[in-house]
Amino acid sequence: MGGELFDAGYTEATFNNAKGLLALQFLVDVFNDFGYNVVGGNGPNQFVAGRLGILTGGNWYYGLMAGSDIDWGYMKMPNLFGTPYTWGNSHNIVIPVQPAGTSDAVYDAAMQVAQYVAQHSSIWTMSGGHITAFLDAQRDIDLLASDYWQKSGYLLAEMANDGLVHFPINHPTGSQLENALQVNIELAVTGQITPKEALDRAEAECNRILQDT
Amino acid sequence: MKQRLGAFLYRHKGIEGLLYVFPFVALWTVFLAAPVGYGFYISLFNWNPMKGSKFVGLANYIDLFKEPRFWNAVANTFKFAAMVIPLIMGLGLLFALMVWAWGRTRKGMAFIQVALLLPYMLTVSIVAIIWRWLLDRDFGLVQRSLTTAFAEAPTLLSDPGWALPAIAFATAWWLVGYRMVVLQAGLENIPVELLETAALDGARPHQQFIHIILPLLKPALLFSLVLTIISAFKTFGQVLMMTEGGPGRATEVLAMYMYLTGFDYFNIGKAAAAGIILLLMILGMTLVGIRLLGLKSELQ
Repeated sequence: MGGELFDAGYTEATFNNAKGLLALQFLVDVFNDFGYNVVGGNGPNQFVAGRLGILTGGNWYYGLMAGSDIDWGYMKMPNLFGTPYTWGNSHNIVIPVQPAGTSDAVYDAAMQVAQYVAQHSSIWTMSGGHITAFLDAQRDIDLLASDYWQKSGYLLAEMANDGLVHFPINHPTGSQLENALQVNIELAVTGQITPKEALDRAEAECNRILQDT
Repeated sequence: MKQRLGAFLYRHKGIEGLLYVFPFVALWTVFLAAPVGYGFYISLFNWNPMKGSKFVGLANYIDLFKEPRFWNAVANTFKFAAMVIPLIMGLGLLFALMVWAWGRTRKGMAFIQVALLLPYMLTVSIVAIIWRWLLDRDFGLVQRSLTTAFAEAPTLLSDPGWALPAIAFATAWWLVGYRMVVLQAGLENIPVELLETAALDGARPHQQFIHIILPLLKPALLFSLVLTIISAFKTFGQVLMMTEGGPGRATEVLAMYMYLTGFDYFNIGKAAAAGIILLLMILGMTLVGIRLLGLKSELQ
């Protein structure tokens, strides 16, 4: 629907509106009306036990699915609200600033390690179920030939490469903001509060977190 | 030299005493007092070792007191303690009495004793995984039994009203065995003659329990109570692995809040402040427990 959770400068939450309500209502309905999942159930366990028709989840469930007895397959996120976006998140290698006087050789060594990890990230992709952001590693022969890639990985890679993966929160308080959203979504999904109340609460909490930053 | 040292220690008995306790004091200082002191020091800073920490005085504490989420965690901690402490102490005493009274006369008590103690041998992560499975909505033995027996039975771990009691029950299952052993040891120390004399004088079992067993069991009860209070207030692993503080924040206890603040939000100073408050809460509640049991000599 083209909405964003926060404004560009992360000064306030921007999800408490008609689009946000529609999106949250959809999530609540997934659990309570549509039957893709059920409140209190462990989705992946239900899916591999053949009790769910659809599981909305990440590629990292590949190992669980591959070890199950069910006939299954991955598909891209359907086009729910105009654009088939999916949430994504990333793992980053960070080289922290070292104490004053640290020689460049130390940074160079750290960067060499980071580069080595990135160049060989196809290994992690195959065994961890992630998508390497390093395009050369995405073209690794072993990765392309792997069951994981042919059944699952290529789909998310296509979405990521086509710009259809949305990276949600890029802010120092990102974890707190995600928690504020998550707990209120949970309360709405479990029927403790209405979707509108959840949005109001989440907005108030997120704005308080942003103002305290 | 040896004689001179002996004479010196004889003249200065206080120093001799200090030497005896020195190994303990040294370890206590290094592994307890110093970390707590350092924790308090950190709590006075906007702690950021990479970019430089800034002294903020009591600002972290004031921030906590202004935060509804902190008070929710404090309330959950007290609710959890109010459930789990009586449960563990009550069941521990009941099982100890059962094993003590029937241990020599009934078959199978040794097996029951081992079965009750066995959960205590498990780590918290194993306990949490077992109970998460037992309480699973679709595949859990306990949850399915409940749902079969009561059509309207809640899904315990996803119901904000039931999740905390469910964790309290799992915690009691885990810890009650050790309390049973401690209390049983206390019961074994009660002279049988006292009970026999009381019985000859016409004291009924409940009178013997109230007027003889309970008073003589106070040291063991105190020890168990202090351990249980500490366990209850610093509960973390079960919550993290069974509910992650949810649903919503229904099970977010103070230790969980502290963990998230420190290691998820990287607000180390604020997490340290929460830790100091948790320490004071545990200390206060332990003193209350000691007072309630009337053991002033132990307090001194």
